[in-house]
Amino acid sequence: MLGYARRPYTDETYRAEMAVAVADHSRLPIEPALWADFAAGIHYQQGDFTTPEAYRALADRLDRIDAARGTRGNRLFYLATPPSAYGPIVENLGRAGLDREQRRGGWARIVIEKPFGHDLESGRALNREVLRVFRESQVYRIDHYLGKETVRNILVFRFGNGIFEPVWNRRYIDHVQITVAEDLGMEGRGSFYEEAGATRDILQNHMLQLLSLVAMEPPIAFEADALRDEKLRVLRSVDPDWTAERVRRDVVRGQYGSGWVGGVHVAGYRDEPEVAADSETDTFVALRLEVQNWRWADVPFYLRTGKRLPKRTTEIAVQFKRPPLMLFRESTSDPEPNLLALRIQPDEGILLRFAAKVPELGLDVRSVNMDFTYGSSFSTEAPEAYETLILDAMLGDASLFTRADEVEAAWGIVSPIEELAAGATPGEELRVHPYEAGTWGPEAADRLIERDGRRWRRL
Amino acid sequence: MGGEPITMVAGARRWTARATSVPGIEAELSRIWSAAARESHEAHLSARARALALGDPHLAGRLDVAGDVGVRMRTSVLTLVAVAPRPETSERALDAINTLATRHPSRALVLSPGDPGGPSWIDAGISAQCRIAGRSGAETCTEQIVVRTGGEIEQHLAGLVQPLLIHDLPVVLWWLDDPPIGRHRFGDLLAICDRLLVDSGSFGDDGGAHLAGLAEVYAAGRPVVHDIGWMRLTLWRELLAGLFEHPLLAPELPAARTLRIDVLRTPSSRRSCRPRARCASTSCARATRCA
Repeated sequence: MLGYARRPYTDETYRAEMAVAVADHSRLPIEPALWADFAAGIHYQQGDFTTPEAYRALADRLDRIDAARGTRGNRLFYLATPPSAYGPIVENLGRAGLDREQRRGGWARIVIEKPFGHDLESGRALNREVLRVFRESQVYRIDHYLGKETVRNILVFRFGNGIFEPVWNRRYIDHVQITVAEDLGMEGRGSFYEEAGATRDILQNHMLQLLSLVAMEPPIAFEADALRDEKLRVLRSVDPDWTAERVRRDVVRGQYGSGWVGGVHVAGYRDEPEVAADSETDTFVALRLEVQNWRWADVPFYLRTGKRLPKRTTEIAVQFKRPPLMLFRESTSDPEPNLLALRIQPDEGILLRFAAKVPELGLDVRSVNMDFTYGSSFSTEAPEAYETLILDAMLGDASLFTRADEVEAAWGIVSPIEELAAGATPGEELRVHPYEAGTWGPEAADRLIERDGRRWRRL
Repeated sequence: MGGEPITMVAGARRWTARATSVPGIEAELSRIWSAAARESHEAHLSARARALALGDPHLAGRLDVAGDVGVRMRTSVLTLVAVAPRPETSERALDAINTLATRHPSRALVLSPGDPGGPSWIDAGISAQCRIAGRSGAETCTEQIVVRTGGEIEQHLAGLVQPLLIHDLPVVLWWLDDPPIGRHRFGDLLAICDRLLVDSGSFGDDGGAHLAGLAEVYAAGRPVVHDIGWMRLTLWRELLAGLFEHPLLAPELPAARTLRIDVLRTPSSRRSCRPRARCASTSCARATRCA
């Protein structure tokens, strides 16, 4: 492991800093003997992001480490830098020949973190820049959501079970709701968020990835490109022709004001540090999408995400249609239609709701839940998303990384909304609607779904 | 986050913890349930390990991997939110919750707001318990979270409660004192619950005004209002209705507009009462308030 940055560390001071960081953040305590062994493999190289000589020195250093530690020229470059540095770094890695995979079988891979651009055009530009130097198969675009245990479990749930696939379509499913709710506010990321907003920060990547996983066709193999081909087809089936009228009807953007979350008073978005007092950045977005293919035509997908909502929760809820005929007219309550909820965090699990007879005289029908919880069912702790993903990148498994064409397809859905919103005049529907911190977003978001005779789930 | 480690109470499957924030409560609950999972997993393994893999670490290791998962389903059927500012009412709520635990396993939140003028603080005692139900032998697990708060939080209890509701289960709000109908803090809580439980039998001075307010909540259709006082009068109501089943009185019923009930206090007990009509003494003793 070699750290490369401008700061003047030595191997020793860098190791010492790493030891403190690992002790602070690891989910397991450090075992001193193991750490000593591991730390011997941590190195530091001081260098600038834009100076070609520095990269040549980096290449020499990597060769020496290869020779000393027998790493056979396998290299994984992880860019934990601001996105603006991606371009120069990639270019210089290329100039120094560090993108080349060696004859003896050593591989070279590069991991980049989101955001992958801030709109369709910049997303394409970034892809071009990276792909001028690296081949697509060498590029690992990391979206840590995809490394979460329960996100990976969506695939197992759908394609490891035989009984759900036959009903996973427009014939049986009424609609799907995807919620990514956060209770946190800016936590010192105000200046970043001013540029991003909920649409770019969460919707463009995490939420559209969840949508793809739920809506995709079975892949021909559990293999990176087969999976990503199917995910891409879902994104391409979402109608990207946004008109101002359609955005006004199907998208609600919001921004939180002050309020109470979890028993604590919190400031409004415009009062957060590094946020403009007249900011129009969205901290909430709700929208209605349709996936126009044979499986999903006319099944609406309702997506919502926001900050300073009442609780932190991520889930996908598949709402099935009502039975064609309600036979039990004597029942005092109409049972709710069947529901399948895949909860991603916290309290990971799977819930199935169905109707059952109340055990007494007469025939009263009520909804009951079968609620499987991971936390209390498996004693082994799930690894952190990054642990999973970095291991996958080292093993060359790109299944859970986003491909260039996926990124562009996602921007293709999101960019037009952002452009129309940015061009809207004050007071227009497309502007951000204020909502009180600690509530489920602006009322307009309720109207968005109630218009179709449906309701957001209470989570 | 929570201060003390989880402690398991010997002899019963019961765990307790403390926390001083809502995220702390959530973290402690999840720690408790993973500790519970580990325990049952270890118990499961040791039985098999004794039989099959004693002294063979390789085989034991394989068993660990291949061991069946002791899948646990949530057994709670509701989230009960009891608001009880006074210590005696909060004790009463906990007693009732414990009595109902096996028949109606729940996550019970008992909120005791105090000292609204001081700084804001939260102090929560968390306990979880698993019991084997008598006949079926199935295990039911319940959670109790007693949250004492200070400061302005009292006005924003809905925000405190929401992160702690179990998804997809009905939420019952039990207001142990006079419900502050029309107040912001009450309205916020009503908006997130499915049922409201009050006891008109224990309303203070102006019970009539409270009942009128509740009638409005009831008319709005949500949440459904249940009155323990009204349930307590079930026997009386049945008794009165029963009078009109008599062939002589039944024809009078359609014409009846008002019904006067005279109540006699007996010298033996100030709280018991009986109408002039025939009355079994046991049913009289159950009615604590008469109109």
